[in-house]
Amino acid sequence: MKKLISLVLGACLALSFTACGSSSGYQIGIPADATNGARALLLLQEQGIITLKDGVGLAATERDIAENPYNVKIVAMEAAALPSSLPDLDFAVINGNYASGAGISDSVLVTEDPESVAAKTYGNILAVKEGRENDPGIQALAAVLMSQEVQDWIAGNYDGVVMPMGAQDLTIPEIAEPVTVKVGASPSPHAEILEHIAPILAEHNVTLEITEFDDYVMPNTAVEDGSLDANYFQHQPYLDDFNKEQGTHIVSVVTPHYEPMGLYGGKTSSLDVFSK
Amino acid sequence: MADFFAQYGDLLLEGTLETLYMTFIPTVIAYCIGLPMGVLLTTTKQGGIMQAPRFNAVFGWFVNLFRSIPFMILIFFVLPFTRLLVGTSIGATAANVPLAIAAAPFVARMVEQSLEEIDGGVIEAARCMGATNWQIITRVLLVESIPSLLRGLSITIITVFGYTAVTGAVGAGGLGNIAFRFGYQRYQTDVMYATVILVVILVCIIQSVCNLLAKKFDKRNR
Repeated sequence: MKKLISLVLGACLALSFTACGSSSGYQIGIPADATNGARALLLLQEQGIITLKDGVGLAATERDIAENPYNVKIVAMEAAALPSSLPDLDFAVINGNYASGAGISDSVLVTEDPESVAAKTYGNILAVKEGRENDPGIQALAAVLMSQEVQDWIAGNYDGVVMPMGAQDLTIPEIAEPVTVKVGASPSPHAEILEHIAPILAEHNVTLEITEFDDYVMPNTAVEDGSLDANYFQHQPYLDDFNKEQGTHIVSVVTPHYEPMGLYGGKTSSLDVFSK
Repeated sequence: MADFFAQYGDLLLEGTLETLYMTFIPTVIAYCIGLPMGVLLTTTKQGGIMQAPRFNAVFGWFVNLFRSIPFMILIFFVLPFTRLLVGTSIGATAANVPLAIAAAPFVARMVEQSLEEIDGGVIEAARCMGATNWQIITRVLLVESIPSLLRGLSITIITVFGYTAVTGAVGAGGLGNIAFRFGYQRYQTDVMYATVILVVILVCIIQSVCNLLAKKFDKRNR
């Protein structure tokens, strides 16, 4: 009996050792969650490192890789853990916000193109409760966010971690009576952008009251129940999902920026290895 | 069914092996650290064979400290140490470090509990025969409590087994990670069911093997 058990245990151990042993090829870290992981794989595909199966699009996982000419190994892990594990990976595809938080912006090799599907899909939106899109205060806020000046400021201020969607010429309505607009936002970069535009809005009789949220549910419920006038933290797919799940009626007004995912160099600092 | 295994068989096999790897290696390491800790916890207690209540209080506090850190946080908390020790912070090998660190104080408490069960009379008898503390520990305490220690072992293994579900955060894979990523996040319920069934089978095997061993070593059954 003892022999049998030790034999089985030994076999298990030996097998698991071989399974987790060293693997050849470059290791590329990607976020493990569904949307970010798919975005990361699309970026790798754009760079010609892998080819995904036809039509998987934003539902791709590492199991949907059709061709892997460079025999790279995809390591899916917690998105926020990627920057700290970067030294142990050859490359990693990291969300801009985590990269800037970890101070590794300088090791970025390429980022998502503003014209890419992912950038367009995951642009961050200014959202309000349905029916309030035309409030003068909201209109003014949207117009200032999309103005050339602010869009340029976004482009110049975040080392490519936060990218403007491109200026739109919206008119700022004349506001005679001063109004206050309460906006819920994620601390960075959303609240920072709002803080930057607060003085500009003040010139147009709009006082901006910014509330920072670390959470992704409260800002939406607060907009729904009217304790906030607008929020600025999410992308359209998240909002659609939220509206469906919670029965809320929140709509997008404008899309000021997107946070591109970037391919960052870890142990290997150049993409030249993929040009052979 | 055949289709399903053709599609996910390799994924599930890999996950199972990773899970076993991340369960047994940390358990072995945790026992190497935790067993002496547990012995120390028992013997230095008031009335123990080498009582030192002050040391016991401080040491007990230290054990509690590590037991109270949520595992998910511990993974990232010990990341630099992991890198120093195994040279990488990703994958199943790296996950073994926080797993062992989390399991060691757990083992210490399990061992403590097992050793506590031993009748003071047995120790007294050994002492009368002139046994040293070391002999009492190795020949009486640890030997007498083998069945209980083995039952503790099954609980430890299954606890570590549960911990492995979140090591996917550092790219370690494993069955729990597959269930979460493919089953839950991507709504592939068949994958979720398959992993859950696998997990149940593995846990049952671990439990029965340990029970069997415990029974075999229990001298009351002889």
